[in-house]
Amino acid sequence: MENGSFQNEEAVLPIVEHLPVWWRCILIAVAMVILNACAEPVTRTHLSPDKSLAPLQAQGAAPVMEQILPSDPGQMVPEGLGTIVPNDESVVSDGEVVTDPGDGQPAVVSDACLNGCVQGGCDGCPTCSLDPYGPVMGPGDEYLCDGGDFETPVGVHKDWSITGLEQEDAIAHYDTVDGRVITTPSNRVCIYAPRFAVVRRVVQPIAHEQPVFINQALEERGPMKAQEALPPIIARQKKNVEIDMGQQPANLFRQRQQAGELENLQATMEAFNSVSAVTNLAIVRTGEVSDAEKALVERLKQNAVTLTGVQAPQVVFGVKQAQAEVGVREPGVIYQTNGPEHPKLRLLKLASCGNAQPGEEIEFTLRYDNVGDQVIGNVTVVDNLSTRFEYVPETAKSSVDADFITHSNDEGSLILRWEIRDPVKPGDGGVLRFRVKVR
Amino acid sequence: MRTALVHARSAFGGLRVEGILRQAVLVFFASGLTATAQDRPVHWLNAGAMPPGAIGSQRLHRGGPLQGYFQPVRIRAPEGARIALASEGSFSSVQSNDVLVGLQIGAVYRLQVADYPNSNGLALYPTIELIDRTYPPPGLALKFPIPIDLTQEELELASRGAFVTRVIYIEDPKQALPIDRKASDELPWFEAPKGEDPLITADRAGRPVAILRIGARVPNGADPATGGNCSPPFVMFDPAAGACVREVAAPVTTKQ
Repeated sequence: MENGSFQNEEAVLPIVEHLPVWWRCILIAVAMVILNACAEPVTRTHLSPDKSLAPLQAQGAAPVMEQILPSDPGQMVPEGLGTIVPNDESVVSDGEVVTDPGDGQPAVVSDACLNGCVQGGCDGCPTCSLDPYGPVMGPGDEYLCDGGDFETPVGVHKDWSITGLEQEDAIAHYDTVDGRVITTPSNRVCIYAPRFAVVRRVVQPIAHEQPVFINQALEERGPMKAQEALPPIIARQKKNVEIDMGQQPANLFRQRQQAGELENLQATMEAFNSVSAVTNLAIVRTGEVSDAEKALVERLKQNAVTLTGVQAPQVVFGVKQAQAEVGVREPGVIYQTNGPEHPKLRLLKLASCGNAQPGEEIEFTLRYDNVGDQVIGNVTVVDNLSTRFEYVPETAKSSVDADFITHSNDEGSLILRWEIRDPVKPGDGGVLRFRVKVR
Repeated sequence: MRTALVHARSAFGGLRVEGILRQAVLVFFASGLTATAQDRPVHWLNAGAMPPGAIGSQRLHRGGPLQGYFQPVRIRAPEGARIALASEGSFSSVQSNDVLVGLQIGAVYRLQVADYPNSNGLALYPTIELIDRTYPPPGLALKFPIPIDLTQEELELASRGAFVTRVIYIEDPKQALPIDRKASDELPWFEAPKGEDPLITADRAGRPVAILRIGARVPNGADPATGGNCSPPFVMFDPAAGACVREVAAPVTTKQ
């Protein structure tokens, strides 16, 4: 029997060593992962509110797709903005869009374009539909958001200092009668305010002729280069010479006046010019660092930052985990514990406008209410503004007596802080308002 | 008992199988990391120096609600300049320096810019290539077009032989600098670092949506953007009223 067992082992082991099934499974799994990684992050389809799928399919258009926002709450769907579903004031035409009477600015796009169809095109009149997809959610980079408590949860120290208050966070904290300090985040408000910028590259074809230009001394007949380069060179050179005349011996001054050195300086400037001919940044020519250069460097530093972290609000009362009574998408979030006392604070944040151009002002309203069954004290509301929000001075208002304080958040914006003086009884509340300018 | 151990060991193939499994796990996690890094549709496989139209057409192949969408674009030139778009082998007769048009992603649009200050009768023919779109809420498409500026400085540079590439991108709001801006202001710009492609630089700072190329070349009949009747389609809007230039259809549904 034992010998028989060894024979079975010898018969089984060579087959197992090859493991064709394992390798196939592994290869299939790896292939699936790679194929999934190459897929577009468009995961589900739906019919747009104003269109049926049949006409689109008849036109051979792509199916109506809806991009699902990533799980990052910083890129969540804006609340209450009617981003997906047109609001009551929107008028959806048969074609693309829409009027927005609330704007004051007529914004009408129609199917009926020039001569009944768009201009150009190989097929004469390829399409008259300006937007075959309808309202579609896109990336969150076109929205400015404020409110909530994301990434590191906010904590309040004994000296009332706050940690974990990141950019865009808005929270309130208060004391209970039994000595606890509780923090409550507000809801998150998003405003459609895309901001554009440009990266530029200027290539001068004449840069490749630079050695020929220097050797032949064509500066007199090269108006393109001479006109660009000469003014700053001459100005700087003259200034330097005057300084050197006063501080250094005459013989050294005479050396600097030699023609050869002057020609070298001009050649260097032309080399800079060949890369980026005329820029707003004079430091590209001179090598000196200016404020504009610092901003560019700072931008690049910012680009290297990877934003990760906890993406859900967390509230802790003492050692107990708080439970949200409503979802984070609701206007206002109430957190509670199951203890004998039930302190509750609701913090609601609203924006006066769902979209804004750079330079426009928006009014934010913070409404807090004591919805618990006990008095709470030292109610403090803190809002860390995004870098693209500039607080408009003297616009902070409060419906109750409160001390208003601002701090720099070291990111170019402000932290707004209201300290409510009087305790808030159950059922009582207040309203805080302030205005910001969109940068 | 010995038989049971051998069978149990043979079920995993012994130490060799363990090594293979470890390799498989490593391969799996490496693939997973790659998948995570590909979530954001960056353009790093492309370069701003690629031929016009190459990047946009590749973007279309990656899917999404892009094909056939007319993205509102606002083209601004210095005061006094005239902007015209190529249409069916010729240029339209737009007499304005501020044009609001709907352009499609992936196509290359040829412009004619004339009578700009210090032009000395010279006309330039820049191109615009859209490589992505915006996703505004309903009714706001024309209020938030993609702005494309033809600056006086760059027009003069191009008229003197330079080739200017501008990559327009949407700033990541979490990386945006606290700089005061107005919608009517010229877009802020900065030079791409030396040795780095401007498209990659824009990808790091945000989401590139358009590429403007300005040179001194005069297009000929072989130019795909102007040749024959194959110029890409576009829609003209009135920048002031934000409406279609000639005709506006009555809406199907009205305000409730």
